[in-house]
Amino acid sequence: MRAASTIALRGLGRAPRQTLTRVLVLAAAVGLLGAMLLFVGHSLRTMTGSAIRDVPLDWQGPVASYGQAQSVAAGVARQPGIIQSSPAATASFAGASHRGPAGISSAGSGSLLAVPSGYERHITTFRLLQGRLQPGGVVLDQQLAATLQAQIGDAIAITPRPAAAPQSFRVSGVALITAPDVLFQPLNPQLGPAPAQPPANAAIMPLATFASTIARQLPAIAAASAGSAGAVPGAQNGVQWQVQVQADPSGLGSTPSQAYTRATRMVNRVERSLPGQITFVDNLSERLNGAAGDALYAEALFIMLAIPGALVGLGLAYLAALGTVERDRRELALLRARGATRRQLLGVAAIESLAIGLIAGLIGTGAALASVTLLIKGGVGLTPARAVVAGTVCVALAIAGALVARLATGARVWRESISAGRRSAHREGKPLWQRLYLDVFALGLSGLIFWLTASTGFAAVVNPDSNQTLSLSVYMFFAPALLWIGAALLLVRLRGRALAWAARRAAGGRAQTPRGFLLVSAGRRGGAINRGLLLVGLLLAFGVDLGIFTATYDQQSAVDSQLTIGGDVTATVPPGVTAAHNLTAKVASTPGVQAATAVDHSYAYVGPDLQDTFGIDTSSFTRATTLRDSYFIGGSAAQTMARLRARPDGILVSKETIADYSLNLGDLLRLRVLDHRSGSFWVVPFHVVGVVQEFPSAPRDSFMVANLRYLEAADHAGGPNVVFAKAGDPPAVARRVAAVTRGDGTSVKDVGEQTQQTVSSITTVDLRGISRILEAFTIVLAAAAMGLFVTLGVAERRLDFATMTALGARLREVGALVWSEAGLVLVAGVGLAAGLGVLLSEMLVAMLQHVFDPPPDHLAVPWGYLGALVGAACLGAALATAIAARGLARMPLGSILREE
Amino acid sequence: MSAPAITATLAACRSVTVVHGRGETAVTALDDVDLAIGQHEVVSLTGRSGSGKTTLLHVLGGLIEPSSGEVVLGGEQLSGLDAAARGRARGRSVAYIFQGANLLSGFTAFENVSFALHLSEQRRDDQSLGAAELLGLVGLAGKLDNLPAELSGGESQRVAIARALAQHPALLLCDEPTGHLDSDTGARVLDLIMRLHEQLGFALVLATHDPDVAARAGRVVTLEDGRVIADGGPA
Repeated sequence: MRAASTIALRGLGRAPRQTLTRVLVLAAAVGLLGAMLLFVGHSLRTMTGSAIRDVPLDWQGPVASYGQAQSVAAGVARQPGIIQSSPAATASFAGASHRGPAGISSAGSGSLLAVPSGYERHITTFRLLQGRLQPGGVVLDQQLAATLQAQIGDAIAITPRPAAAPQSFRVSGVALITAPDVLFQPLNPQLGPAPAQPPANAAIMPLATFASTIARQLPAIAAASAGSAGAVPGAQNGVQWQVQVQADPSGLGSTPSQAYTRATRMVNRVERSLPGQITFVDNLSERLNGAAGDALYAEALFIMLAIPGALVGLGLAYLAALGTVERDRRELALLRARGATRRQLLGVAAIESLAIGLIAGLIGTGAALASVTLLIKGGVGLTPARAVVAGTVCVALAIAGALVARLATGARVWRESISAGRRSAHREGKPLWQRLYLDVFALGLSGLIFWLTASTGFAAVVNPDSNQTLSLSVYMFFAPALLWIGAALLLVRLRGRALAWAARRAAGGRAQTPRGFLLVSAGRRGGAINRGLLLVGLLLAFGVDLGIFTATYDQQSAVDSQLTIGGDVTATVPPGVTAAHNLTAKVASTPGVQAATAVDHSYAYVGPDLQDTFGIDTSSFTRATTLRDSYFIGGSAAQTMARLRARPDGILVSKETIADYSLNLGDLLRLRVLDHRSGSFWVVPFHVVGVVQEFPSAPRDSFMVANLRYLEAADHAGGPNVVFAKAGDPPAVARRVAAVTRGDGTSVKDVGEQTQQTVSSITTVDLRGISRILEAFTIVLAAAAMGLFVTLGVAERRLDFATMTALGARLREVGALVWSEAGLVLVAGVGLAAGLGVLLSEMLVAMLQHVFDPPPDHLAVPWGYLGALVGAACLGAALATAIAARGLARMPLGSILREE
Repeated sequence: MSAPAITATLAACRSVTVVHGRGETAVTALDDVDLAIGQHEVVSLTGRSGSGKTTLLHVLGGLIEPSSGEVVLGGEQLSGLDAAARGRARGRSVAYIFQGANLLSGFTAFENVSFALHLSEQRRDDQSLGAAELLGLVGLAGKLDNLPAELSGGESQRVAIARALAQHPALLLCDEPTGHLDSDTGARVLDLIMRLHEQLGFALVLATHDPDVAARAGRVVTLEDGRVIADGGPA
């Protein structure tokens, strides 16, 4: 053992430069994997935390009565892992009214939430804007407060059911109910969560007040019958007594699938401990189940993006190991000649790999920790324990990588006879995969899978309800994965034959000129050039694929988010506030806001269809948000806006409505618009001036866009209720806008926050962090790949170059053979990268086209990054060529020629 | 055909010492060697392995710079010149034939010779032989397009001879040119070299440990431990 260690370590010490190269290249490869590991772990933890935070109410258990709600809630609260258990109730009401100085304001039917004091401690179904819950009082949702024009202290009347006597309550606060779809859903534990259409009007009451007033006039919905009429969304008639529970998130684990399993077990345990008393609608597990699917998708996407880079990195480690292969081979053969067994030789290789892997693993760990700390905003939640795990994995991978590279490069020595090992010429048969044509099979299968997924709509299913979910089959990732594998194997199979053929053709027969010598030399070194092309080309292809895909992904995420909320920053306000408080000017003058525009988001009937209707100010709208030409049909964004501006009663109608009602440009369109003053709909004439298919903040496919003033005059809503703003730094500006408008009851969102929270969960996968890590490593590896190729080429041809010099060749004549090969590899590599990289990114973007709404018009090309990538490869080649030239000039001719 | 007359000195070493390595591991490969090679002269360097034969050839051809002493090649002082300048001087008058032929592995036989012709282009005249003719001269007209890996040892050595001739050398330095060959092939290769020397008139220095080969030269220099211990006619 000691002898093997001595031999191994002395061997490494005898070639310090090559050893250092092997260590650094391996360190870069495992550093990339380590950074990936840290990032993916952090992403999964973030996804879990985000999923849990997104659930406003974990469990809702229907019970039959107020008393039962109280007793069961107390029983649940005693269970471990529960941070809050409250009795609660939801109920419908038939109407509400308020007698104010301007007369009586009325509102239609709505829903009530009844909760005990202290409810808001851990359950966040509503946010109090003003006042508080008081016994005997009612807290109005801000929309209802605006409709009733009621303030704190006013008395309002609530009619529990049609034909019942209204009951009077004092308004004690105004709140924003943040999750009405979950809160007022029909509760059927057998069916599970079924978020419902949010009520138009809502209010909150103390539970005791509710029980003694409204509840007395409404029937209770029995827990057992919840599955019948009550299960129909929006059809709740009566009181739904229930127990609302919040679980302790700290005990749920770090990954979504782990959290899902634990949450399910927890709810089962609580139900078992209260047998026959309660069964829950489990909103938490439902959300975590979705998050687990997203996590699987995210892992597949991360793996798809990162593994090729890491594999190419390990390929570079193999290339680095080849730098000493001839010397190693002879030394090992000599050891065998002196009686060493295969086992002992393997021991030497293992100790050598252990030494290299240990150092490379530690350096790689450092690189991984540094890269995630420097490149990822906010870090990745590093703890000493996580750093140790990452380090252990990096060291283990480095040792394994070093051993594989060592065994692969020395494979002949393990197999062949002693005498054969001491020779330098070898002949090998075709490996099994070549005989089986696995490369062609992989390419064919990749095409087939892509065709199948493409022809079936890429297996993406988008649910168009208010809670969009999207599911993707991870199997479709096999298409790009197999394309990678097939392309790499095909390159190995070709062994540069195509390049060699082209070079020989260009040389035009027997070489007699400098150009001819370069060409025939390149032609006969097809295998070596191909080895460089394989690594440099695939690495650059990986870089191109990564760059284009992430740029397109980022571009579409931004488009998607802005389309969802309307602008970089969006402030939603109660009706009347914008005009009364001059909110548009307030937002526009907030530091960082480049432009602001007010929008009236209302509703109107086209025939029997109620559609979102947006009143916009065409003069300021295009400055405050982004309109793409692809949003409109029959004209650009500018042309369509100009047509709308030119006609005060003009209206842009969605493509679906145009088709459904056989409309044409210029047609008269009579809409039934809600008159907020009278509370009834009345007919208003518009003229169709354009066709629109996407529009900022339009949530559905059917909607309309009109001029703000004309719509205001028709709906008497009191002015715009949304303000869009364009900003350079949306999160910072959103904070400032929220601070400036705090007293106006605004709800402020920004695109960054929206990207994180967007309901289309797949776009929440944050690629920015991982792409930064990968791009940084790719640039380093591209330079290293070219450097290694040149260095290895010089090492392999040392004797040839020494002989040429002995014959009288000048340095530039010898150097030309080096840089011409480097140039050839670089040009061919860039060509391969452009083709394969674009094909792969096209494939990935096509597979994900349903994720984005609208789908990308074109791939986004990050020219800066791609330039840096090719620049790094050129720099690596230039540096290595310069170093090689220096080495050639100082070549110890005597000893090289003597070695032969 | 009679041997060309030996006239002026073509290459010379004066008090040349070559030390490899430093400190305790230093090895003296040549120790205060004086040697002059006349034009058209044939000299054998003999001695046991490690006696300094190859090092002396490398010094004469300017492949290595001696630790001390002077080397003159074609009237030009090589000592003190940098590697590039020594290379240029070597290119003007010296050709090598190595023990293992050292053909350029990526070039065919024709291209190996053609490359040497290209390097010596400035010294070529219209009467110069082309690569194909030179290979024909060494009996390899049918192997022009063979790569080194496709040639036997003797054929490789003959290509090396043709390549050396392409350089129009005034001095041909041969390092154990028959060392890797069987005796029959070695004898034929040596015959060829001697015949070409007679035809073309270059000076020839043969490093060999084979007494029969050494005996083909008019002058035999014997080395031992880096020193010249005998310099005279064949034994």
